[in-house]
Amino acid sequence: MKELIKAKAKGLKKDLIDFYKKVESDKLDDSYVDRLSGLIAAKMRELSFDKVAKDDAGNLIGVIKGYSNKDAVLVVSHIDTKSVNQQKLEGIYTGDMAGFKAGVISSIYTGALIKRTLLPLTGDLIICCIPRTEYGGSGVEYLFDNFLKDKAKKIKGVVLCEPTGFNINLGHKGRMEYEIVVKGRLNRNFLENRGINMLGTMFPLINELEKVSKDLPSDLTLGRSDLRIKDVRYSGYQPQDAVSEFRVVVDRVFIPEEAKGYILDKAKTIAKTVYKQEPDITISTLLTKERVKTYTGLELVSEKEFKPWAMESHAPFASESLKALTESGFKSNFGYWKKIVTEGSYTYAKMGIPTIGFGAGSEDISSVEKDALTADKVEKAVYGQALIVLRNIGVPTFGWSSDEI
Amino acid sequence: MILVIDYNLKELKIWSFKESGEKSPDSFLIQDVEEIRDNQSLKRCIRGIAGKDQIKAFAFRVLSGGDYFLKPAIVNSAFLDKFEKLIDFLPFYIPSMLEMIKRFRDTFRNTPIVNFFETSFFSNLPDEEKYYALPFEYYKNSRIKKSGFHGIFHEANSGFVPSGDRTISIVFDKQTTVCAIHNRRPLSISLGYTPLEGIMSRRACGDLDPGIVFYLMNIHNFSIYEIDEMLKNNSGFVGLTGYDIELEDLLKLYGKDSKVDLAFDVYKAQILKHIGEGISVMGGLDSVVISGDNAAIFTPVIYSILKSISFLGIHIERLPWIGDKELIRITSEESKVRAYINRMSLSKIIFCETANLLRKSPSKHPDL
Amino acid sequence: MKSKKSTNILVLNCGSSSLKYKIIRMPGGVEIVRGEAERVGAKTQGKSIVRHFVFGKERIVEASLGDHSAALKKTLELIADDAKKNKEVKFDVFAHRYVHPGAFFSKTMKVDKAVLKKLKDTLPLAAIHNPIIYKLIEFCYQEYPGIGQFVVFDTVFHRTILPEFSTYALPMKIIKKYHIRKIGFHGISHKYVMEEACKFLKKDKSLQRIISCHLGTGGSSVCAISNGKSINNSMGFTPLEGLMMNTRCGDIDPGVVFYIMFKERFSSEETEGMLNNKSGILGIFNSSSDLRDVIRDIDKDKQAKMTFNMYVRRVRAYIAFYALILKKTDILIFTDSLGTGSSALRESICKNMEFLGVKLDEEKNKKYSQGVSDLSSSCSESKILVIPTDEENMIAKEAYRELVKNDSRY
Repeated sequence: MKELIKAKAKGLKKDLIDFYKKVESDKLDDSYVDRLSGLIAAKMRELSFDKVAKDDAGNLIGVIKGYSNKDAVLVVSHIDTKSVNQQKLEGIYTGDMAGFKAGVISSIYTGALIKRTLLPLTGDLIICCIPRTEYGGSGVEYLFDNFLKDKAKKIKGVVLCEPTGFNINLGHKGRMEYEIVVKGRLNRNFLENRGINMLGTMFPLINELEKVSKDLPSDLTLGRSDLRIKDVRYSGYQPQDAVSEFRVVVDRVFIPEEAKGYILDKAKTIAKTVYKQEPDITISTLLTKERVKTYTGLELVSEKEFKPWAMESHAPFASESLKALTESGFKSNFGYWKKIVTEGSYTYAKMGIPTIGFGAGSEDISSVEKDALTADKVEKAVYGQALIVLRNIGVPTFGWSSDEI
Repeated sequence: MILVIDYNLKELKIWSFKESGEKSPDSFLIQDVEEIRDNQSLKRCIRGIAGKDQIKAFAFRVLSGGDYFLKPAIVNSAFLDKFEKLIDFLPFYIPSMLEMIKRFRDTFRNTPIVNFFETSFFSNLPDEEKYYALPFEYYKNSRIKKSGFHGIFHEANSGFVPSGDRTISIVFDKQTTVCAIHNRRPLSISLGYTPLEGIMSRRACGDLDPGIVFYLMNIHNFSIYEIDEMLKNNSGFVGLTGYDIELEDLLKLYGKDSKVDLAFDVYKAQILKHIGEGISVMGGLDSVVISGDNAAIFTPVIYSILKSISFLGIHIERLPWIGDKELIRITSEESKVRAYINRMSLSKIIFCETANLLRKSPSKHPDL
Repeated sequence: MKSKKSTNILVLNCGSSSLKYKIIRMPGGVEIVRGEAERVGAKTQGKSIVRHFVFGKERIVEASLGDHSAALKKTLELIADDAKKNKEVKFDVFAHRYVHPGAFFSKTMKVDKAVLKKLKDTLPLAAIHNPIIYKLIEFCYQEYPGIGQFVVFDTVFHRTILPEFSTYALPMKIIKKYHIRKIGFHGISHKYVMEEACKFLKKDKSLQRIISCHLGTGGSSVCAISNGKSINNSMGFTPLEGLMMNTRCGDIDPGVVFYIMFKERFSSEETEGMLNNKSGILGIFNSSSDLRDVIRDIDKDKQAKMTFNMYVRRVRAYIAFYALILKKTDILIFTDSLGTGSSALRESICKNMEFLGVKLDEEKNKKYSQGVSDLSSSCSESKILVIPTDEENMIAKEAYRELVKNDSRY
């Protein structure tokens, strides 16, 4: 069976390289995602996917149907859409498939490979390319609320096409953006006719937050939590303003033992302590909301949060998938992402669906230069992903080898 | 012209037969199935083979017909529905085979396609042979029983001797199988379900103590996939000798390499076991018919086996066995048990059967 | 000439829920005591008992036999009791039958610390029997340190199986790493009946070609013996290979096994358990694992007929195979409970075997009741013998042989 898969993979290689060149050569402007989604949908149709769809949030879905309807596997990749990321992408050398592109291409060709082999599946293989902003959980949430609504119970597992160095990654830390809002009439640093020294007023809080950031907890497998002050905004600093307000926007990386509510409460407490001398202020904390207009024109609002998650390595979906790889010559192990976040925050942390990550390359963009992704590595990722899918929803043939028929 | 096709998922072997039975000098090999990905290129290719001759029919060799196909079948919509249900029998083979058949049907809409199954001959195996000694609920399950292999060859072999003969039919091919046949009915077959039982091949282990499977799983922590891979791809001649070469080349090393000697001795012992089983089921032996693509290559092995059981009344002629007919007798006139080599190729057998079928029902066209 | 010192050997033969024992005086093989502890450790409705015979006189004693050590303790109590009344009732050494030593042992061994340690490594090879016997040996070693112990292996007789029959077509490095080969079982029984057959027929065992069928309610196996040596046995690396047995499946395609494991999501333990304990006669017949019950129902139950036919077919297949490799069968032997106990079975096995020179005398077959008997018809080329097996006698012989070799007093 493996010879069959390898032979079909070889047959797809040229097409994969041509597609990559097309994707890579396109300009990273405002309508890039729109064009890319068109390319993806067209390619899925060309590769004979049984069903190709695009939902209103711009998620691209390709289905390879199983011969029965027992269960399903999701193969998920993401498309970066925020302009912040555009700057990151420009720094990458040409001929390279760093970032999300490798994941997208490998997810599509995994579906194509399995389709080509005609190997029967006990359920559907659903390939999803999900546009995502820096904090964008909305794409995947919309997908599960709509297209996958009736199928979610059947999903045996989710494979995230993200860089793992060909290991099976089982989770990552969470990330959220929250704001501490301090409102009121601030007495200190009030200079007649010159207004409030806003920055000076905010400084104690920022200082305290910096101190806290050096003393955050750590998880054995996922690493250390982190706190960065992303932005400070203020208003009402003129003498005539009745109310002043400043916001500290915090980018917080957190581990499973830190609940969201706890973090927000703690932030509130810190601020209250700093400003306990101020009698007339209110302090509140909230998760930043993000308003996104997808390239399809849909407006989505969501909180800026990626939940932390960590799958158990002995969970069947994880252990069987690892075995499928190591039995076929991959030198894979279990691992965790240290830097990036994924759709696993939704599929596993929120929906409870077993989720793993597998892909070529490293999550560390700065190491891209010495570990440049080549088409060979993406082809290898496709092969590995196909093995994982077949181990979980494939129908094996025992005793017969394709060499001896 | 009738085209006989053998598709092994990697390549298409095609033999063209003119109706007179004259085989074309070459068989054709489409080595890369990707070359005929669309119907146009398939049509071009086949036309290139057939030339100006009208193609009367296509005939496919199919590895398994499961419970549904008990004799050769012509493709129509009922056929395709039934064929799809065979997925469970050979999951990696049936969908690709179905696709290939559909391609031919769509490209050559007016040409009948006949399918010959390696398992049809064994639909009539006696119950005592068919079932494994497993708990009742599995024994009742039709998937868990012997479906046999090389039925096309074995059935043809039995046609060369009187039906009252108690015959052992042996096929030497990529797999080696031994079948006992009496009154044109198979009574035993060495390869029941997969090549992990019966006689070893280049890569598969043949008869094996099932306890070894569990021992390795417990001691080494192998999964069923790993053990299956080991038994079907890394055992057999490759496993015992370490040489991954054609059996024809391996045979040349016999007598020069102790590993090769042992491998062939084990091979012969397994064949003897199944000959013994076959004879015990029939209560005696009247004839032996040997065929298969590797029969010519394995002549020394065949000679050695039959010589070792000559006490049954088999007086085997010395090598080389020569003759210009398709059926060569290899025992002397005085031999109580008659033994033959049937040199008719699989493609010729299929061609003859196809021609017969078309003669019987000339108006049978595929129901499109 | 120095006469050989006589030794009383207490032979212990463990079944999974029984303990058979005999005190045999060697040389000579005179039986002084014999007995069987039944329902040892078993959770059954019947009571645990010990059937105890001293010079043929029977005594049945009820006792609580929680495990084999308890059974042995009770046995030794009874023996000690008898010894007070009869001074011939005594024993000098223990001799154990050990089922599966793997590649670790190739001859009868005297038990010492090193042997005990090595035996421990063999426990996984016969997960039901080996641990039971090991515990008993350990018990004897600790409780009776002054009394010598010998271990006689069921597999040693088959060390002479030829490489073309003992080699499986597996990757050579797996074969070498795990010492995988056809080991064969029931060696003690096959050797015993082979020797008895030659004695009975007054033939030189080194010139005989023999097929021995040990058909019992425990396991069954067929053995090909040439010139007094085993050259093939139907059981393999484990007792699971070969004939269909009372709860074992015998020969089966591993592809079928993998398919069932995949479909039913069975673990390897569950599957191994199913093939060892729920298959075979029990699997097909369903209501019993005893072939005698099958034979009883054969005329009224289709399933019984099918079960019987499957069982007979596989025995015949192995007999024919071994006849082909021996080229001439001088003696065909039936032994153990089914081999000696069922004339219907023998008749079906021997039917239409004239092509191998085997022809049964149906009258003699039906009339057989006990002892060693020749059931072959006058025109049969091969002798067909029924010989009740006596593993304990063989074990005593082997232990005595080993004892005499190493002890200068003998």
